[in-house]
Amino acid sequence: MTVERWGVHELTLTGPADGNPFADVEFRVAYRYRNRVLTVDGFYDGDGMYRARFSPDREGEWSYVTSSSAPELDGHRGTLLCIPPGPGNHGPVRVRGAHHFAYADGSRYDCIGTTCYHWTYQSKDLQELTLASLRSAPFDKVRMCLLPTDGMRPERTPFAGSTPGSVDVSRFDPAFFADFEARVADLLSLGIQADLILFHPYDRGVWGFDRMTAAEDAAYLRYVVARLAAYRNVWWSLSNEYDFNREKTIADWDRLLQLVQRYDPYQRLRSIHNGTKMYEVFTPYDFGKPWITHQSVQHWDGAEVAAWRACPKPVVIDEIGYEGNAGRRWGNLTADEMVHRFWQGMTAGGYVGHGESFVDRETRAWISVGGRLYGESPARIAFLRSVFAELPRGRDGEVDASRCVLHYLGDRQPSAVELDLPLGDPFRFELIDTRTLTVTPVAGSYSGSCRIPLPTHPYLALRGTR
Amino acid sequence: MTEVERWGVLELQVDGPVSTVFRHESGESAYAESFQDGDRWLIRFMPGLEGDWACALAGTSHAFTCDPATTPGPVRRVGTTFRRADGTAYHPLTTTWFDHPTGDSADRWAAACRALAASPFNRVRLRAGNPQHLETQVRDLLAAGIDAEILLPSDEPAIRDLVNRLAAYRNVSWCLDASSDARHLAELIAECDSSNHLISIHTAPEAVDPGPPWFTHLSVPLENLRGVSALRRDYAKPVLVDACGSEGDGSTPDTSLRPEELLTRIWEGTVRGAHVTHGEWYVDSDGGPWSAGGTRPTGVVAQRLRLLREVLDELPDGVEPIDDYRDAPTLAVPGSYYLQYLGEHQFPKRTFTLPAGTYQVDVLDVWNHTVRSTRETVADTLTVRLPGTQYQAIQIRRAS
Repeated sequence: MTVERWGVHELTLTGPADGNPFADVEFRVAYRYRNRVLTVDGFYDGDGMYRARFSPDREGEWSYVTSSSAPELDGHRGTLLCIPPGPGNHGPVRVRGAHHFAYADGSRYDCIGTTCYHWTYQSKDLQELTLASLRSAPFDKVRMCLLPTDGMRPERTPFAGSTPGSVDVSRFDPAFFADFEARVADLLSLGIQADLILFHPYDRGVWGFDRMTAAEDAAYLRYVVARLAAYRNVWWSLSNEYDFNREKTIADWDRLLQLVQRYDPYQRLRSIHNGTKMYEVFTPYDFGKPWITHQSVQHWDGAEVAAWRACPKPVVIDEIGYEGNAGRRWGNLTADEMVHRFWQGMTAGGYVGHGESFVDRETRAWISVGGRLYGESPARIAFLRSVFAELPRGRDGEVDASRCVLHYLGDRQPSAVELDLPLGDPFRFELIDTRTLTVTPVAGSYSGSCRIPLPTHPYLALRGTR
Repeated sequence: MTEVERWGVLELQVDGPVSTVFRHESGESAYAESFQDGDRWLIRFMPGLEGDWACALAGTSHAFTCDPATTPGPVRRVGTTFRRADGTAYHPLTTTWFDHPTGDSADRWAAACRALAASPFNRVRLRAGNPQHLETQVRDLLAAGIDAEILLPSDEPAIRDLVNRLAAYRNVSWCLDASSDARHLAELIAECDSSNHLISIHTAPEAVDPGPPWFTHLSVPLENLRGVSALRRDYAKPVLVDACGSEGDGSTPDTSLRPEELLTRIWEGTVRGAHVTHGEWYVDSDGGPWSAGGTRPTGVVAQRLRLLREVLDELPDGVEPIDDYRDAPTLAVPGSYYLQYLGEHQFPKRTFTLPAGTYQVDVLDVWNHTVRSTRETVADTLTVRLPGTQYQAIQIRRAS
């Protein structure tokens, strides 16, 4: 049996189907390369089927042995051969330096995400349309929820049952997960990270998934991690707007994050996302806590990135406001304003996520259901992405200031800008118009303290190279 | 046929840089690489299972038999505790002996090793320098029944060489220095180490997250030992405080602790379920400060830790911190064993709620190294009178 590096190996065994196998049966598999052992939780997949998924990170021969409370699942041995990664497989994304990301093979990850909270809960046709939209969009990450909101009445949920009030949270619905995993795999084939939101506050007790017991939360997280951690494009977002859930405390979130860390043999990226109210309330989780890998921020102002970089972890503003025409404060920005916020946050050394909420179009709000993109921002974000991908960077992922400066001029309309450039070889500049997506050379060359004339209109950036 | 006892060391001379797989009759196997020792190349291996083993080298099969153990084996992590491979409980009491970076240490080491063998310590932190000197130290400690934590350098070839050289000694564990690529190095060690020894990184959790599975336990610098309770809760791993300061008269705050302060830190952390490392830094000691490669500990704490060693040796299995007594750390097997430490506080008495029965009650004066024992019959609560001085511990053991 062969599997490519960072691919998924699946082991299937049959075992007990009586009682509640989700809760009653312990099943783990220890995979070994040379002397290094990586132990994964297996999971019950219904109908007496037990599976374990494993993503090898070293080429060569791996061996495995199962252990289980059920004799028929215990002591199975085998080997698999891990072969080089195929085209487009750069491995999982990890943190690079303090504030940036890279794939495990060392190549750069741009981190330009978008949000489609419940796209996997929609009709098959709409899901296919979402994938088609993503194929031609500039996004390399999608934030998406596992759990339904209070108003949704899906055919399936992660748990057994789909009627509020009669869901058995001690059992899971393997068919829900099979569909969900297929979508995570679809994203993987598009080179898109799946930033999985494990809890959210939009349940309001209707399903009760926002107020399960500590043991139920733990069983849910363990099952989700057992099923999904082997997909190399998975990230864990413990909650959306965690601070809006009044049923849980910071100590609860600490514990749940720690549990995900304990269950996850690969240590996929892990964070938790705050809410904001009225451009006033901002209570992010303490991202300095060791079990957090990056800062998943909701905030309206990209200029704040500079302050958050005091914490030595990448800043990802996963919600900065959405382009659209929704009746809610968060969902009716112009493309100009939205893209302006991107440029602010990115030039400050952070990352920014997209969202779109045109509520009167055929497929409604992208952030909720996916579908089609109607806004003007994706094309501009594609342009921004290409500009940032070309910047020369050091080993820590930071832009190499000795070779390149990128200065964003924002929503002002100056006739000139004064810059303090490094002395020595002069810089040549290009004027980047982030609205018309044009790049125009600026006459002359500059070093030290200098003044560069500008056309008098907003949303421009200067890129200087030596 | 060659015979090696379980958890002993098998050594094979080979032609150069090679690797092999040792296969046990059960199907278990282990990978090992050779290392250069002077003008020889050697492969070492510690068999973890009794029975027949074989490996192939240069096309030739080498077979050997593993005989029953005469030792409890290497240390393993089990949840938040350590155990020997044979299942017995392991309570490390560690001291720090960092050799001079240069110079011949043989005489100093010989004296230090004698001092260690006579001390209450069962584990020493060593810093990797010359690989052959280090190996001598590890072997001497093995003979004395003392474990060695090796502080590794941060370059990959040196780590690989040390692991290949030393992994077959059952008494070693690995500690990485705070390094830019801790994950890579920890995984490299795990890959090469055919004995699966403990791996940690010496750093504050805020600097390098100790949570990932490639670290078996926490190795933290920590001055306020009350913090270990949160670390144990957050990571569900054993917590080793391997730098809380040294007793001594050094010129820095962390090398000039009063002996009372170091002793109470070690007790406080221990009764909170962690393991706290001793250090000593008296500038004018014979051979230099003990923890800088001196010949023997000359301070007070090393002697007074004998009491802690006795307590640790008699700790019942399954003892855990409990939070029934909010104002004093307490280790317990509820109903049958309690160990409470009162630190700098001068309590006149302490009351415990216990199941009816007879108990042996020991009031341990940790600083003065005295024990007052009584036998008490309890209906539901027990009040223990105390001398009203600092550094008292109470040990309660059910007698019937």
